[in-house]
This record gives sequence, C-alpha cells and structure tokens, in this order.
Amino acid sequence: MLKVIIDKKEAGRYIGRTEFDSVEVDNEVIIQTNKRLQIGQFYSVKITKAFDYDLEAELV
Amino acid sequence: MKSKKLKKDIVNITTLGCSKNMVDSEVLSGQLLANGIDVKHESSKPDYNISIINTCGFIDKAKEESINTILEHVALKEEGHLEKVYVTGCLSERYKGDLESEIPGVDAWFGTMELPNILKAFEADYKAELVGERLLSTPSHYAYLKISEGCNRTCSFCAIPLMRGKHVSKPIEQIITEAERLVSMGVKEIMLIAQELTYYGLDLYKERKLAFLLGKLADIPGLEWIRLHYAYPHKFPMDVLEVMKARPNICNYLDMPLQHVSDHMLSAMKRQITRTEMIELIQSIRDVIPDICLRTTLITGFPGETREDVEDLKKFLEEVRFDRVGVFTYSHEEGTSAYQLQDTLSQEEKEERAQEIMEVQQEISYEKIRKK
Repeated sequence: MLKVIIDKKEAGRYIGRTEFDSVEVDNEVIIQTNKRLQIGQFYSVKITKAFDYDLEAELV
Repeated sequence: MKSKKLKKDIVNITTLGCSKNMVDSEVLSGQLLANGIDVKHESSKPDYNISIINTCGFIDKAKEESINTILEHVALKEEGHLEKVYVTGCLSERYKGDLESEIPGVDAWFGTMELPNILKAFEADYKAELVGERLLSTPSHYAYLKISEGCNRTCSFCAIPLMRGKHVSKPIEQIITEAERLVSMGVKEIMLIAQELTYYGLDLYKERKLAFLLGKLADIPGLEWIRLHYAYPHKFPMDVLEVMKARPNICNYLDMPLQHVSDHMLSAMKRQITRTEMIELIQSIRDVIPDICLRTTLITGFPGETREDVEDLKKFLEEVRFDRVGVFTYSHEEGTSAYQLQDTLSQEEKEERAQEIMEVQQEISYEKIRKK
C-alpha cells in the first residue's frame, strides 16, 4: 500500500505521486476510480500495474 | 491593431528555466501585489500591458528560449499590444551588456539581485516585512522553498556562480516563517531547493545546518511532506539522514546530482570526489535508510569524455541502481573553467551517449518499479 498525493485530474483519471516521486521530474501514479477525489489530498492506493516509469493503482 | 488603453497597469510575468527562477517570480509577484499592482503568471490571453520576462541563462537551449521569448514580447510591444517589456533573471545578469544594444526594444534589464530596482520601475517599494509572501504559480498543495542563493562550488562546467554569485544562506527563522505561511495557504508538500542544499549554514552560521533546519521544518503542523533537491556529494552531511529517518514528514528521497563517475572526468569537472567515494557514500546512505529513493543527474559529452567513460557510466548505473536518473548533454559555456578545454564532441554524439545511458536506466527503473 502506498500513500499518494493527488496532483491533478486528466482525461477522467487522477494523477498522483508517492513520497518517492517529485513534481515533474519523476514517476506518476494513475488512479482509476468512480469516486470523487480531492486535488491536493492524500489517499492510500494499491499498485495494480507498472509501466516503464509510471504506475497504475486503485484506491484501498 | 492598437490595444485598448487599459485604465490600470496589469503586469504579466513569464518564467523560464528552473524552480529557483519560479520562486523568484513568485516573490516578485507578491511584492507587486502588496504595492497594489495587478499581476498575473503566464497569462495565455493578451490581457496585460506590461510584460516581465524572468529568463534562464544556464545552457544553450535555455538561452535560445529566453531570447525568443524576449523577441516575441518586443514584437507585441512594437505592434502596440504592450506598453513595456522588462527582462530579469539569469540571462539578463550574464549578458545584459550585449543584450541592451542588440535588443533595444526592451525597456529595462535587471540582474538576479535587483528585485528592489524592478519594483522601482513600478514606483513600488521593496517590503522587507513580506518575508515568504508569494503568489504561488504551482498548484496550491505544493511549493518550492529556496533556502539559499548562489553557490561556492567550482564545478568546471557550471555557469551558475557567474549569474547567482556566492552562496548566501537564508536565516533559519526566515525559512520557517516562509514555510509556515505556505502551509497556512494550503501547501502540504514543500520542496527544498538551492543551487546545492548541503552547504546550507556554512556561510551564515559557520557550520552545516541542513539537518537542524529540517528538524525545525518537520515540527510545522500541517506540513506533510518535505523533499530535498540538489545535494552535493562531497562531504555530504550524514546527520541529514538521521533526521530524515526519524521524522515521518521528511520524504525518504534525495536528489544528488553526480554529473559523472569516472575519476578523470570527475577531476576535470572539479567535483572533489572519486568513483569509489561515491559508491561508498551511496552505500552508507542506504545503510541508514534502505528504502530511500535516490535520484541523480549526469552529463554526457564533457570535453575529453571517451567511449570507456560512457561504458563506465553504464556499469556504474548497473552497480548502484539509482531509482531515478536524468541525463543532460554538455553545454560549452563561456566564463566557466571548462571553457578553456576543447569541446570536441558533436551535439549528435553527446545526445547518442545520453540516450545510451537512459536505455540502461530504463531497464533498472522498470525492474525497480515492478517490485512495488
């Protein structure tokens, strides 16, 4: 389980970052959910898929 | 087409280059606002009559982008859409003398340490009591915080000291006040930046104070993440890691540019460290914080870089396995000590080498990311 901060919403998906990723230069965590998340808030997620640099995750 | 005469001046600031420049623009905006002047960041509409361009003068590409932006705004002025164009930042600091005569359409050029003079152009005063008052240009949940200006390092490729001067630490109280203000504005994550963080305190307090500063910042209620960018590896202050380990709101994250790895490159770059010492340092960092995310940046194509050096870089990456790596190509900058060397490699060759290195890292990143 990872803690992510939500940076933005793009094309219906939320884009977050973990403690291990800085703004702009590092990886993003893409979160697919029907729930309404708040930009700038922290959520717990579980990683479901890994790409070359980015991760896909779902809320826990 | 003549623009409508606006009743009141509206200033737009365009920021080019790094996060340190972005912070300078935010401080300038805060000062202008406090003086009753309307100010915007990077407005996409032509709804302003005065333009300030905060430029970058670091490497070739950045200089080109800055000059093109200035020319675009001067053209807007000549067409009657703008009344004034001012230029500040690193490019202006470094090349003001030449640029003044080459681009006469600019109303005034300011250096990197001339905030009060910019304000004077608006008949505004510098308000010292506004410490930390900034108009954020990032989303409101994160912000950059600059803990010092300038750099005392003498890396042979780097033009920063020419534009930003010697290292000047910001007093601890001032940084804490600024961080508290940011948190009260809704900021949850602060990225500490400087040309180089580890030197913090040596000029002002005669000792390294980064660890102490981190402890104080970590005490601020509501500040959930503190992140460290740009640490110099030589004499890295290990006490920083103890604080990082002890305080949950300091991210287990460190951005430590190494620039190169082979000893003759490190020595030509005047990095004060050897390959073996860097490996030992990284091991000792991981001994304290095993899950730390280590980021580094490298330069390819420095004068005298051989094929063996590139192979060595790749081998080093495979040995050390950084979490994140950025690669830049060498830019031959006048005024730096490396400028006396022969810049023999073509841009194409430099880029190919950078690409080769990124391919090695891509594998490593993917393997690391899959473990999550």
